[in-house]
Amino acid sequence: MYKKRNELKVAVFLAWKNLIFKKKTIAMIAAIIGLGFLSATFSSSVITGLRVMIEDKAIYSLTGNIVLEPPVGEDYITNVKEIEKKIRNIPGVESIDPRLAVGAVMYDPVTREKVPFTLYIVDAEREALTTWIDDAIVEGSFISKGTKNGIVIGGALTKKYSISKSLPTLDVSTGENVLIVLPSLGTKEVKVKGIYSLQFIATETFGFINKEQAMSLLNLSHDDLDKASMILIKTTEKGKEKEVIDMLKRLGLNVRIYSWQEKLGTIAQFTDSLQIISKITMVIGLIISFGTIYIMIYVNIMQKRSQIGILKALGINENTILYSYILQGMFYGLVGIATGYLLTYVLVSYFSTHPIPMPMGDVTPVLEYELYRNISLLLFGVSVLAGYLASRNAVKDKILDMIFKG
Amino acid sequence: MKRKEIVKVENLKKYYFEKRSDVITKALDGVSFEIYEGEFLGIMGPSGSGKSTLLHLLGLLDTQTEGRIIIMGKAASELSEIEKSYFRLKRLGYVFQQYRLIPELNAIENTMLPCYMYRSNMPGCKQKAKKLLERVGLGHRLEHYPFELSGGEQQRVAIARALVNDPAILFADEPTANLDTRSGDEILKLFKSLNKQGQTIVMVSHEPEHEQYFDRILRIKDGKLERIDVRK
Repeated sequence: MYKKRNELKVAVFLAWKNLIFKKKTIAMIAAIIGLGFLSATFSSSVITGLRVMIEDKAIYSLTGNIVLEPPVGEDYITNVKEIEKKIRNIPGVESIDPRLAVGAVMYDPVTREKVPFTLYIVDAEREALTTWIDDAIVEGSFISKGTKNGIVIGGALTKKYSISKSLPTLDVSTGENVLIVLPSLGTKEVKVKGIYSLQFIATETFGFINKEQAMSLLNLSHDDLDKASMILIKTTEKGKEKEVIDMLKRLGLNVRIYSWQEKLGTIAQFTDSLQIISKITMVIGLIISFGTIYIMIYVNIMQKRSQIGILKALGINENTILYSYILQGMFYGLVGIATGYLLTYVLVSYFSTHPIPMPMGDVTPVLEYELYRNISLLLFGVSVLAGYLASRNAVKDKILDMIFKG
Repeated sequence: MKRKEIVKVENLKKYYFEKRSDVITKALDGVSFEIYEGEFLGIMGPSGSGKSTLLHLLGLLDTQTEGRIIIMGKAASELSEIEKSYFRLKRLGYVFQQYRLIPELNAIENTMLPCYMYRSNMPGCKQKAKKLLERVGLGHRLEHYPFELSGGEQQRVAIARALVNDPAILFADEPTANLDTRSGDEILKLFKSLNKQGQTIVMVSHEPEHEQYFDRILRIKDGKLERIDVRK
């Protein structure tokens, strides 16, 4: 009887001959699978890009990858220098940024407008190493170590750059003096050295001054500056947080330790929602692709019913015919996925250099290789399944019906 | 000398049931006869008489409603689908009226396909296909695809394909019906020459001028065997 080896050899032969003879069909099916791949991946990669952008903006302005906070019942972390020494050499820690926060209000004596904000006293260099604030300057410049009289404020505090219609703002520009009301210290006049904007309102209601200026402006001593309201830690890469937190916990520091995910509750919820939308988009894309691929391959096989009948009449058994169409389905799948990768790569490359402008900032699509691998496997599976299901139905029919009715 | 019987047909019936109208069409209604090794048997009769139905049943392409076909000692009704398929591959050759070549395969590939399925030896099968194509006068058309061949040439490729596994019986269903007279005559001469070399051939035809080629003729009318004419 039939030998499996013979069946496979003839199946490969028939599949190959069918494929090389139908280059246009291959091109069409590959294009459809490729577009299916693109529809499942591209919108998902844009949403992932948006999610990553929001997360990164929050991480690199609000929390760092890891944030240390005072122990329960305390307002400040003390002995900051000691803590810094211990943390600095932990593998995976790139930079450390202690911030001392003071509640303050900016005040316009003419309009009597009051704008509350958080004033951070920082080491300018470390702030620049740990966060994106210095890169987000839209006017003027960031504070430096020698700045004696200069504050950098968030765009959300100014009329010019605020994207909120409801939050109070001041009509202030770089180089102008603003009045700042500080608790128990009265009103002080400070020059605006720069304005930053991350196009993300939650990160723009802050002001930054360096430690030297804080000593004169807020009458702080060196000991006062060894305190912090929070210490931001930037890790060498995103995803290392858990590893570093485990090591931080082993140091037995008198602080509370949080990852950015734990700290960014609402933002994390929002980005998680985006993740779900991204998955739904991908699943819909896959369903559409499944339907399209199945119909294409099915129609292609149905057009060959007569030919399948002839093969059966010649004594080519059902398994061989089935294998030949499964092989063709596999080929369509592989070529389609390769086309899809190419299309996605071209689009993502284009949008990497020409980011998509969105209200929260410019979004660059993010390729998630694990996701792409899964989509590739799914589409490949769909192609094989379509080849199998369509040909299985066809080969079961009566020979004469197939030959004479087509 | 007593001839060897290779097919025995007993009371063969093929009915088609019209589900909607309860009408029964009796395409074959109790046909019995034998086929002998080495003969050139003609099956003749008017259109719709049941000739092709009989050939399909003999070629194991269809299943009878009643009766028996004993083919080379095996009852067709007792063979499973896969056994029938293997039997067709190994022991039977079939030539259709409309050639029925695989359009994606050239002449040599079309011819060698059943051999490749049976023997799995590409060079050997190609060699055999080449010899057969030369024998049917297509040695110069080996690499041509069906759409590059005339009707007569396509039919000759189909004959070579049917012969590639050295079948015990070659079935041909009105193989000249779609050909011009000259090509038709060439095909019949080819069949006669194959038959002279010992090939058993069963051919359906409704052309009276083909009678001269047959050893015996089964005359079918309205699904029944009218008579058997023995020409020699």
